[in-house]
Amino acid sequence: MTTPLLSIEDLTVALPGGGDRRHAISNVTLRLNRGEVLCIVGESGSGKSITASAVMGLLPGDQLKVTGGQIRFDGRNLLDLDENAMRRIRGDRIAMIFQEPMTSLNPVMTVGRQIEEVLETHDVPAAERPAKVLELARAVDLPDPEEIVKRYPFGLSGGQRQRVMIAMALALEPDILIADEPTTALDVTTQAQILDLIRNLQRARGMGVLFITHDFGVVADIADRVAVMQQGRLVEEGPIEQVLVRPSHPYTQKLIAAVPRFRTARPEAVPEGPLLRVKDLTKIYRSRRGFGAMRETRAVDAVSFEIARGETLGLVGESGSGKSTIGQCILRLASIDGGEVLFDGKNVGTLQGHDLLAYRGRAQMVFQDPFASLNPRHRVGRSIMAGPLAHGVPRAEAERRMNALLERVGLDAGAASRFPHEFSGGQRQRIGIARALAVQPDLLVADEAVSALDVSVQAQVLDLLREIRRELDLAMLFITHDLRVASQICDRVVVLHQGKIVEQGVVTDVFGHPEQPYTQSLIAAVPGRSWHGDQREPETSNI
Amino acid sequence: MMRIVLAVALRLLKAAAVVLAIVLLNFVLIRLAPGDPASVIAGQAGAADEQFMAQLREQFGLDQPLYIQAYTYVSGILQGDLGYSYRQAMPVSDLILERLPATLLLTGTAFVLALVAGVAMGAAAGLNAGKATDFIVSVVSLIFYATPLFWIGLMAILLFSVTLDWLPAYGMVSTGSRATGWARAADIAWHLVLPAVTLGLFYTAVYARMTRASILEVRDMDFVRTARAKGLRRGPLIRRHILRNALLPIVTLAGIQAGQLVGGAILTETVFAWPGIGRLAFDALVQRDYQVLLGVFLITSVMVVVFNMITDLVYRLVDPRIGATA
Repeated sequence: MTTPLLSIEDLTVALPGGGDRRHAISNVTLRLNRGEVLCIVGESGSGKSITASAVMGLLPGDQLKVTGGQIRFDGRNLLDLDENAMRRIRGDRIAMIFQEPMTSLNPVMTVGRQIEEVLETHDVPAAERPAKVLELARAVDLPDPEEIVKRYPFGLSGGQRQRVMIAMALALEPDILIADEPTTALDVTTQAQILDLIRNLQRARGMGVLFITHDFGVVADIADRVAVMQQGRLVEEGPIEQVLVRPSHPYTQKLIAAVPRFRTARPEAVPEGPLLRVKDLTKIYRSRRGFGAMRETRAVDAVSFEIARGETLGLVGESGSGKSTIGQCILRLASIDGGEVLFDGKNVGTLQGHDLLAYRGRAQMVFQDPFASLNPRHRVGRSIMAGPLAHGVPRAEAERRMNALLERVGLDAGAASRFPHEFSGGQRQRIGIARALAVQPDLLVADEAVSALDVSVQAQVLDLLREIRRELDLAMLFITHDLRVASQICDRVVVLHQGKIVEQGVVTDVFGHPEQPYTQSLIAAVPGRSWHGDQREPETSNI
Repeated sequence: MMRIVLAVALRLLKAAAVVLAIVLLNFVLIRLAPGDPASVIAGQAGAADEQFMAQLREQFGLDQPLYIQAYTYVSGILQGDLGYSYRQAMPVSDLILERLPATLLLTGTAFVLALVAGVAMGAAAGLNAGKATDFIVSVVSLIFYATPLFWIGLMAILLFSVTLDWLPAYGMVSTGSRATGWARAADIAWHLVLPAVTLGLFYTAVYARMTRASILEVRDMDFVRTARAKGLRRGPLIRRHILRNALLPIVTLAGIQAGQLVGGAILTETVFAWPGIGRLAFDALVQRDYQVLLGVFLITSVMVVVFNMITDLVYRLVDPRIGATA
């Protein structure tokens, strides 16, 4: 057996005191071979990113300390190296790319200079650097390399920034590339391109890649071997075929079962008579560039659709498709610039005063970020009751409703007197749902309501939304970028691209037999497609 | 290029409108004070019978409606005429020009001192957060921040002039000194130490606190982690990535302080008997010398507007994101 490129042995990292567990990771043992992609997969808090940071020596030293184990690379234990020796390895022998391309580059330095910095700090002669920077920009398929290296990060798209990150990481042909959720913040089509790029460069250069992700679809597309982590421990490790198809550990089985899949069973027919009718809805954002002409951006361009009671309509699209803006226009959180939104026959766009207040009592929203959408200084009970009280519901009745709702969304009654920070992301999203339901709406707009959640939690929240929609006979507008999630919960979907509707219809028709090239490209880009094909359709998702 | 010229032109136009509004506002505000200039002059002359007052009013145009007086004043300003101080028997513009260099020397020194010392202290604290340096800087800057300026001035005089006799306590040059050239410059510098330090301390503390907070924020940002992952040495990491970004908010603050270069030294100039604009304004106020007061108001407001513009331009230079979207 050959020596592995990198071997992590019994690595243990302590958490600062007072937490709910003593170790961020404990006794993790992993091997990465040359020319191999090892995926570490797990939910938030599993310790996967900490493992990666420990290899790079980038743990925040005042909070997390390695208390045991070894990280062997190139015949040495990286944990024994002093800061200067470790610095020489970073960026040269082991390189790393991160999740957030928008914030991972210095905003006041040109991207070319940032790539050059890697060469400079590892003593590449100044004369060779400019040519090398251009060569790298070309290697990661950046358009117009000569021009783009002179730009600042704000002038690049998310995908392009991630390419710059990859160019920096590959500058000195490292032995190991550590990629920490590098595609999580990107649109699916961009994600597919970046995954391709990483895979191709890895093959061409024979690097070992340590790829951190929460997404089993991505794992299926890129990994040779998979390690599954849960709460700081390694629970299963093996070749991709084995872990994905015949997972042995119950946690892995549970995680894989929770991964949303495209469903094939056609949803039940939807009752007639729309509750919400959107006709030629248009939203225009205007901005002035210097003294040039006013620039108009049609964020939403003549979009029409209907939703009936008891129906879930999905709005799917990439960032900039206008899907969230549509949700905001429907709830009058944004003004309407053209077309009309008819709710129960009434024009939402012209509602004023009491009528608008009454409308808000019938149409509610569940927001994406469960951390930011609850007032951190209000107790949960107060947040939930605020809506009904504003609509004139007596306090006793509001309290009764709040308690019933907390129970309905699966939280104990004591939750009302606690603050949002005392809850997990999934629990907070349940609170968000209870808050929206407290005014007893007829229409629920869920804007990326499960996107920030781990898959297992995601599945539970989706189940909850599905049940509630049925019990209360709600009309639901479900906005998401994730086609698999949309497929799980929606009856019909509208596919949006740059503010316009590309295609709409029954979810299984649109995703099963997409007619438009754009829809086809979206579906082709969904990670783990081949793997999903192998899987039998789980019974539970046929609702 | 054309766009930048146009942008600057538009800014100038807006600035002119702001200054005009301030001039008119000041003019009206001064007139709201009880008693008109005629009664002041009459009071100083010691004779105040109705006929003399009416004669004065007619002579100075004070019998005209207020808007005509305002028009006369504004058109005078446009021709560089800030009025005449009967009290000092000098044109207001001459009075101001005579006092301006002293004030600019004092406030400019204090500004540079505060900026350099404050940023250096803040950087030392921010980069060593939680260590002794941080603690010392935090305590010192809190003291500077919380203590009133005049009190620091008085205590400094007490300690360094009266007790230790190291530094002169008042004035800009030694009494009776006839030194010229370098000797005179040294004498002025000698006198400058206490007032400049006193005036600068508050902003030193503000810069130090802000720099520290800004560094603490920036050092945990994603791009700093990226820079570390590239294997950067500590020096370039701090200079290019942490400080370069952490100092952006300091530019805004420095612009605010720079705008107060002329008007912000009244207390210090009074305590140290520094012959500057602040003293001029204070005396004018006490003596109800309205023309001088209006002139000082005009100069200070023009300074604020001008430095706001300069700050905006500097921001465009140091932060490439600004201007791309504006």
